[in-house]
Amino acid sequence: MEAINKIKAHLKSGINDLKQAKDQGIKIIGYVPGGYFPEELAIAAGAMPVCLIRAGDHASVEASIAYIDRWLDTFYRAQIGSGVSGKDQYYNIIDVMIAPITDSNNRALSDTLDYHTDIDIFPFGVPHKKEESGYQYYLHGLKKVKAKLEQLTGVEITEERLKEAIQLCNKERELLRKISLMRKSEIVPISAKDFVMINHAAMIIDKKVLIECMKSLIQELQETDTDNAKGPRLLLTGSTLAMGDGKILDLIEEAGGNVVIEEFAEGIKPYWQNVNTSGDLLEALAQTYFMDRIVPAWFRPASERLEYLVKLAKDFSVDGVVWYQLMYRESYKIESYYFPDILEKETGLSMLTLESDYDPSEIGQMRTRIETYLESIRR
Amino acid sequence: MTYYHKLLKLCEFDEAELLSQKERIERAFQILELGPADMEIAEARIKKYFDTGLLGVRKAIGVWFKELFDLVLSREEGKKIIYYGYPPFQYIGLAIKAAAKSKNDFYVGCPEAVISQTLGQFFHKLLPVLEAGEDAGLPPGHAMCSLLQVKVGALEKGIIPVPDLSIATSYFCDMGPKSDELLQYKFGYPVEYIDSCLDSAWGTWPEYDHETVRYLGAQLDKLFCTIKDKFAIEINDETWQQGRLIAGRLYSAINKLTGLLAADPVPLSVVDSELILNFPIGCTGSVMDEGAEAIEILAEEVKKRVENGFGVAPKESPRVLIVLHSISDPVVNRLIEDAGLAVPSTMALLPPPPEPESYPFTTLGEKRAEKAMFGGAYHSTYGMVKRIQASLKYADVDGIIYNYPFACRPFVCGNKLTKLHIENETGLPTLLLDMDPQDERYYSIGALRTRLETFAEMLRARKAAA
Repeated sequence: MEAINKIKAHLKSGINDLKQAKDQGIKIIGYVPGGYFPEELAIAAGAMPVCLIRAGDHASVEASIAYIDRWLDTFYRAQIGSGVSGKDQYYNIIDVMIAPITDSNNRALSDTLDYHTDIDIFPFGVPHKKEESGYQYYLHGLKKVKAKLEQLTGVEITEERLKEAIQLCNKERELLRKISLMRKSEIVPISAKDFVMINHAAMIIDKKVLIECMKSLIQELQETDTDNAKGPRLLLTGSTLAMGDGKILDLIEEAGGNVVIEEFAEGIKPYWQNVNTSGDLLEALAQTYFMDRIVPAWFRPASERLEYLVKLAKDFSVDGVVWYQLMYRESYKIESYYFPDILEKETGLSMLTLESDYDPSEIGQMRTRIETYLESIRR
Repeated sequence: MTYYHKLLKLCEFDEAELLSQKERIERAFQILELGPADMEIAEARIKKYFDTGLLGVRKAIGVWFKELFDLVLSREEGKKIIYYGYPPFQYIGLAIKAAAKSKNDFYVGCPEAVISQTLGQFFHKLLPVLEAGEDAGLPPGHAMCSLLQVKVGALEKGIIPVPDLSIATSYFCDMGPKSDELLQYKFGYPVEYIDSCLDSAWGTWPEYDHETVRYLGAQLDKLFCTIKDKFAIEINDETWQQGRLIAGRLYSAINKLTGLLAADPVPLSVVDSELILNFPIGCTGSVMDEGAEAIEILAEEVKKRVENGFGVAPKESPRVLIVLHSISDPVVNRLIEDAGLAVPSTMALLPPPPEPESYPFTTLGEKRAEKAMFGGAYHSTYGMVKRIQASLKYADVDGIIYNYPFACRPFVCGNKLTKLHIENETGLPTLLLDMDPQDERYYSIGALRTRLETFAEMLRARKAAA
C-alpha cells in the first residue's frame, strides 16, 4: 500500500528530519513512553516531540549492565544502555528528556541518565490512583512541564497555541482510532505489523505528515479487499511493544495468527479518547491523559485494565490472548498469573504468556509455544 | 514435659507463662505445622548462632515467639487484623494501636517480617512458605521479592489469618501493592493504598515540592478516614503522639544499645543486633514492653562488655556499616564477622541527620508526609543516598557493605549510583553485595564469603597503609 510505504519512508528518515529541525533552531523534546506526556505541550511550544521508544536489540541491554542491575524491566535497561552509550542518535539529539515517573523502572532510567550523562532530565510524577488528589497532582506536573518547555524554547504556550496543538493531536488520534476499528470486522484490511508501525510513527514523525498519510491509507483500506485475518484472531497485550521489537508480531504472523487489537503500557500510543478543546486546556489534557485513559498494570489497583482487556477481547471477537511482557516487569508478571482466570470466566478464552529479554536465543522457544497455542485455539 | 518446653525456657519463658499459655502455644505450633523435631532444630540453631549467654538476647528471641503466637492466633482470638507493608510508613501501626480503645482488640503488624524472623531464623523452615508463595502468583526466576513470597505463601498455606485491612505504600515499591492486589483477588480483603510519586529530581533532597507533600498527605488523611469508618478508631495528632510515646521506651533502649556498639572492639555480634532491628518495624504488640525490656537488659550486658574490653572481633579490625541484615538467615550475618570485619552499626540504626525547618502544613497527613520526605527514601533515590551519606558522620567506619535484596527494586534502582556517589563524596570503599534476606536458594554462602574476605583484605591493607 502506497500510504504504508510513505509512512515507512518517513519513519526511516525520522532522525534526519529531527536533525534538520534542530539545525533550524527547533528544540527537540525527548520523552519516555507510557502515554503520560501530552505531546501537545511540546508542539504548542514550537518544539518537536520524539518518543524514546526504540528498543529490541540485546546489545543495548548488555550495555546497561555496568550502570544498573539486571533485575529491572528489559526495555528500561535497554534505554539506559542506549542513553549512556553516547552513540544513540535520538538520545544525542534531544534537548531535554521529559520523564513521567510511573514505576521503579522508569525512575531508574531517569536517575541513571541524570547521573551518567549530560542529558537534561525533567521528571514529573504520575500518581498510581485515579482520584481527585491524584488528578490534581498530575495536573500540577503538567504545569511544571509547561513551564519547563516555555523556558527551554522561549515560546509562551498560549491557550490558542495549545488548542491548535490539541486539535492536531486529536486528528491523529481520530485517524488511528478509525484504522484500528476497521479490524473489528470479519475481514481485516490491515495487518497488526502495519498498524503498530503507524502507531510507532505517531510517536516519532511530524504529525501533519502522518495525518495526511493516514487519510490516504484509510481511503486505500476502504477500497481493498485484502483479508489479513485468515487464522485465529488475537488480542496482543503486555508491558512494552517497542519500535524495533518486532519478533512477537513476526512469529505470530508466521504461525498463521492475526493480531487484531493491541494494548500495551508503552509502545502503543493511547488513541481511544480525544482531548476536549473547550474550558481549561491543561485540565482537559489531565482529564484525557490521566483520568480517561485505561490504566497500566502499575496502578493501584489496576482492575480497570483487566476489565478493559475482556471488553477488547469481546469487541474484536478474538479467539485468544497473547500476553507479551518483558522480563522483570513485576506488575505485569503478577497480573499474568490471575488474569487468565478472569478471562476464562468472562469469555471462555485462554491466554498464552510470553516473556522476552530481547535475547535472540528466545525465538525458537517462542515460536514453538506460539505455534502450539494457535493450534490449540484454531477454530 | 511439653515438646517445646526446652526451647521456650531457653528463650526466657517462665514456668507460669508456659502453663497459662499452653493452649495458645500448642495451637500456634499446630497451625504452623511445627513439631518436636522442629523444636530441636530451633534450639540447636539458636544456641549455635546467637549469643545465648546474654539474657537480653534470650529474651529478645522470646519476644519474637510471642509476636509469632499473637499473629497466628489473632483471628481465632477475635481480634481485628490490620497488616501493613514493609517497610511501614512511620508509626502508622502504633498510631492505630494507640487510638484503639483496647490494644488487645487489634493485631497490627507486618506478618512477613514476623514469619521471616521466626520460621526463618529459628526454625529454618521458610522454604515451604516461599514455595507456596511461588505457586500462588509470585513465581521463581522472575526476581520476585521473597519477603512478599513469604506473605503470599503464609496466607495461601493458612498459617496467618486473612486481614480485615491491608495498608500498602504504593510508590516506594511496586511489587508490594501489586501483591496486595493479587491477594485481594484471592482472599477478598480490602487494601488501602497510600500513594505518592518519587519524582524529585536528582540533586534536590532535602528540598521538596510542597504539592508532593500535599498529595501524600491527602492519601494519609484518606487512610485515617478509612480506619475511622471501618474500625471506629480516630487517628489524630494526639493519638499519633501517643503512638510515638508507646515506641519511646523501645527506641530509647535501641539508641542506648546502638551507642555502645560504637566501641572498639565492637561488643555485640551483628547476628544478635539483628534481633532488635525489626522490633519497631515489624510489630506493635509484646515487643513494645517486653522487647524494650530485653534491649535494656542487653544494653546493660553490652555495657559491661565494653568496660571489660570484650569484643566479637579483634580490636582495630576494619569497621563497616552494613545496610541490611538477613532477617531469616543468621549464617549470612555471621559471615561478615567471620571475614574479620566489625559492624558497629547498620543503616537503619543510625540516627537521622537534623531536619530542615518544617513548613506549616495543616493536616496530620501532610505533617507526616513532610517527615517522610526528609527521611530520604520516600523522597527519591538521591534522597536515600544523601540520607546514608549524612548519617555516616555518626559512624566511625572504614567501609560500607551495601548488602541488598537483589529482587528489591527500590535498592536495585539506586545501588550502583549509591556506591559511586558515596565513594566519590566520602572516599569510603563500598561493597555492593547482592543477597536475598529470605531465600537461601538465591545465594551461595561460598560466593558471599569470598567477596567479603576480599573486601576485608582490602580494608585491612588500606588501614595499614593509612
